[in-house]
Amino acid sequence: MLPTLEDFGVPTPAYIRKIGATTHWQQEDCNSQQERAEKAAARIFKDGINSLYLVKSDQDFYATIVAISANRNPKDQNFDFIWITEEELKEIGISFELVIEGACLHSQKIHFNASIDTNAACKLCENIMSKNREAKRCKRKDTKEILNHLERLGCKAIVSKSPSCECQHL
Amino acid sequence: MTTKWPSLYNIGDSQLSKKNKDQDNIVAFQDPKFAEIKQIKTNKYNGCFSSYRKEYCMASEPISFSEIKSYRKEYCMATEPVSFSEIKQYISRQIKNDNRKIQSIFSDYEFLGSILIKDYFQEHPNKRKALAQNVAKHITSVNLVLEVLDWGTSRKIREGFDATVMLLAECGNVIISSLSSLARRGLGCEVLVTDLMIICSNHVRATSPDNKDLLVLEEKWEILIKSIACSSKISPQKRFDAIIKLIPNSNRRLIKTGIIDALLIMEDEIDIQSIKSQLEYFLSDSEHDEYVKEYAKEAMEDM
Repeated sequence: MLPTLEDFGVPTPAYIRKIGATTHWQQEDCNSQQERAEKAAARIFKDGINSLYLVKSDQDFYATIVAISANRNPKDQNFDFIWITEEELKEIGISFELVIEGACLHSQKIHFNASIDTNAACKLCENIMSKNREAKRCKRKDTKEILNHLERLGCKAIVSKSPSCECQHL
Repeated sequence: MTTKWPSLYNIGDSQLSKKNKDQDNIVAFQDPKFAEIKQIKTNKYNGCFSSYRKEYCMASEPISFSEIKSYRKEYCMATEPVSFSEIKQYISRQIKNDNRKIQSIFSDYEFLGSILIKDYFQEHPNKRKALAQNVAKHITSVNLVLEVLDWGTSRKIREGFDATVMLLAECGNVIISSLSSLARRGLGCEVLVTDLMIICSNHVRATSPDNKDLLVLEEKWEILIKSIACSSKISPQKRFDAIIKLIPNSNRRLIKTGIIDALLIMEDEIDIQSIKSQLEYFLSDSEHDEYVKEYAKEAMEDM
């Protein structure tokens, strides 16, 4: 059974930002929300361009996972992430644009480059944390299932010589 | 702590500086062409060396020592206005005239590894996977492993976390043997642990610069641990043993959860009971961080 966005409590539409580990969102020794946000921001966002994926459906979410997993080894790892709304990005004044990236044809249509500096990253994290939002984890076995599912569809991010990919039509 | 490597351009400057002190090479410095080379050698990376990089990265076998020396010399001296054949002739002439060879202050392997690491991290995230295996072949020393960690934890590098894990995992035994050899010399793994402990004991806060060091150190440890767990080139038992050795020394949340994640990564390769017995450590009363306890509990349930 493939996991759904509903399972993770992610409303749509939302932008997905992959993070190294859920613990990055829950740093220790924080005396304030601001301090926690600063620490999390330092781990989650880089100065400059950061990749975000706009998900409106479960298929968008699967495409996000396959696109990011294509640059990981092994591919079937835990997939930890936070979700952000468009309003939250705009509130901080973060600019973002659709940029075709990666081998998955579906993910190319939902990938955004967001320009984020340290200050904006801290504000964004603090804002999200004030809403008690938690980092989410798509566990390894679920990641594996998603990748297997997309492999069967012929996703070009997994099967590089795939003649056709059904996932782009989903 | 970690060795700070000079940039490509600084390497060139260091070599020039060393040569400048070396009276044996005075002839080379008196040559007007040499000044020209020094002035425009900053173009070398975008120019001639990019083709070398491709050769290195695409090579199916590690490049021989003599080849590296040859490439390095060309690379160090190459400039846009001077063709390769001219450079070769120039170097040959200098060597012949002086009857001496130009010395390098860095080992050739480390020099090449350092260049390839920089290239790897400066590539687009989508292109790194294709490079990782061949770059990893040249990461043959602890200095280079630490340099990879420096790059991977830089705030300027996109998707540095996954890129670093992927690269170090390809290095295989070098990671563990490097750590072991460093531990014997009182460096590396132990240095990182010691630094971490010192910083923790100083009770640094988020506003102090030292706390940033702590965050970076934590990140390096987390990456190292995960890299070892992910490495298919090291036997599962060896990886498992290396990771569980860190448990008693781990006193930070990120490192503890990193170890828990690493143990889960190996669940298909290591006896489940062995992993569970290690996870028990984080569920015991000696663990005071409720977050870690909950994390370990969830991991246990997932198995």
